[in-house]
Formats: sequence, C-alpha cells, structure tokens
Amino acid sequence: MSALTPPPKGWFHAPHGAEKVWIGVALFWCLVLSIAMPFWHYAGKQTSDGEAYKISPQEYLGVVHNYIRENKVGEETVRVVNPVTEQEVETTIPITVPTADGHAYLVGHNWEWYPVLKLRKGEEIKLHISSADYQHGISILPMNMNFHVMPGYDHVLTITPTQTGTFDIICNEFCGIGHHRMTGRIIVTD
Amino acid sequence: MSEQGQVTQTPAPPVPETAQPPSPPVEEEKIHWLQKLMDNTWLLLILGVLIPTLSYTVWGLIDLLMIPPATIP
Repeated sequence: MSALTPPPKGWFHAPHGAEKVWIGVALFWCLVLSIAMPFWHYAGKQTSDGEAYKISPQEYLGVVHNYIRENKVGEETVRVVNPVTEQEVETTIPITVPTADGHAYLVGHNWEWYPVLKLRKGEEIKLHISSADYQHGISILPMNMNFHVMPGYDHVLTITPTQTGTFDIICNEFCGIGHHRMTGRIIVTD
Repeated sequence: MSEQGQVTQTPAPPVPETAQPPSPPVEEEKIHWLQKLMDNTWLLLILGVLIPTLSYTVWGLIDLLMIPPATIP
C-alpha cells in the first residue's frame, strides 16, 4: 500500500452527532473572526489603511534629510553603545516637528529610529516611515501599535495623538546584532 | 418403453422464463462526497497548492505591483 492509494473501504464515517456540532461551532467561529478583522480595521483605529508608495532607500534618506533641515526644532544628546565594538559613544539626534501641511518622516536603519518626532496632541499628521537597509518593525509603546517597515516603500500612517507624553519606539523585527538597542522617540505636547 | 422395445424419451416441457425468481437489482454503493474528496490525493495536492498560491502569493504580488511611486517633496 502506497501513501497515495486510498485506505481500504469503510475508513470514512460522515460527521454525525457531537462531531457535527463541533464542526458547526468551528465554522461559526471562523465566520466571526472573518467579520471581526474588517470590523476592527475601522473600529480599532490603530490599523494602517495600507497607504504606501515605492521609493528607493537612497531617495527616502534624501527626503528625510531635507525634512530634518527644514523642520528641526532642537536636538538631544544620547549615549549609545555600538553593538559591534561595545563602545559607548555620545551622539545627537535631531528633534523635528511636522511640516506645515502635516507630514512627518521617520527612517529606521541599523540601529535606530531617526529623527525624534515632536507632535501636537489632537493634530492629525501623515507619518511616513521607511527603512534604509533591512526589514524593521516599528512598535510604538506603550500603546503597542505595530507596523512592518520595508526598504523601498514609503509607508504612510495617518495618526492623531490622543495623549501627551514621551512614547518609545522599538524595533520588533529582528534586524541584526543591534536589534535590541534600536529605539526612537515620539514626543507629544499640548 | 414402446412396443418394439425401444426406449423413447419424452421431451421435457419448456421451462417458462418466469419460473426463476428475478435477481435483485444491484444498488450502486453511495460514497460520501467528503470520502471521494479525501481519497483523491492528486486533487487534494492541486487544491492545497492552488488555493494558497492564488489567495496569498498572487494576491500579494498584485498588491505590490499596484503600489504607486512616491512623490518626492
């Protein structure tokens, strides 16, 4: 008997009794979850609508540097550990505000989220995110908002901050030896 | 036995066709459609490859190909 030949007659028994009930319950739950996904897309308010554009990493880096040059409002000094050499170095990260027409740009690369964004509570912005090297995952904490970030694509999230404070960004897609140190910040003020 | 001492055989009466009981009609065994499906390994293989390819890979590729280029500010 080969694996491709059917088993001897009599192996099959049509669903009956409690088995039918379980199949019914499973199908019903599949239906509920299938409806829940599109429902939560609109009701959850934390889901990307998939807006994205093609752009090369070099072009996107150029856009980010232009954005920083025109919208920088300060900078902060941080001490970071080089994951390769294990040496602690002091570096500065620019703090930026959105453009006049409400666009802000963030880039993820090994291993930081750049620059720091300063947003206003209640003001809707288009947050552009891309990667300059590998696939990263942006995770905004403590709200636990998570999105994939791919090089070559400008992902656009329409977001409206609803509370003030400093929110950490981490990378939730393993991206190499410095993955655990890849952080960033969003500051929301009144 | 006849008068000449010869044995004569009387022909047997014809047997009417209706004498034997009719054989019962052979019923085709009903096979559940799920069993037919589960026993068809090649159809299962084709469905198992085709459905995810269309609903996941091809749909994803179409989505990627439809992403417009960015307008650089």
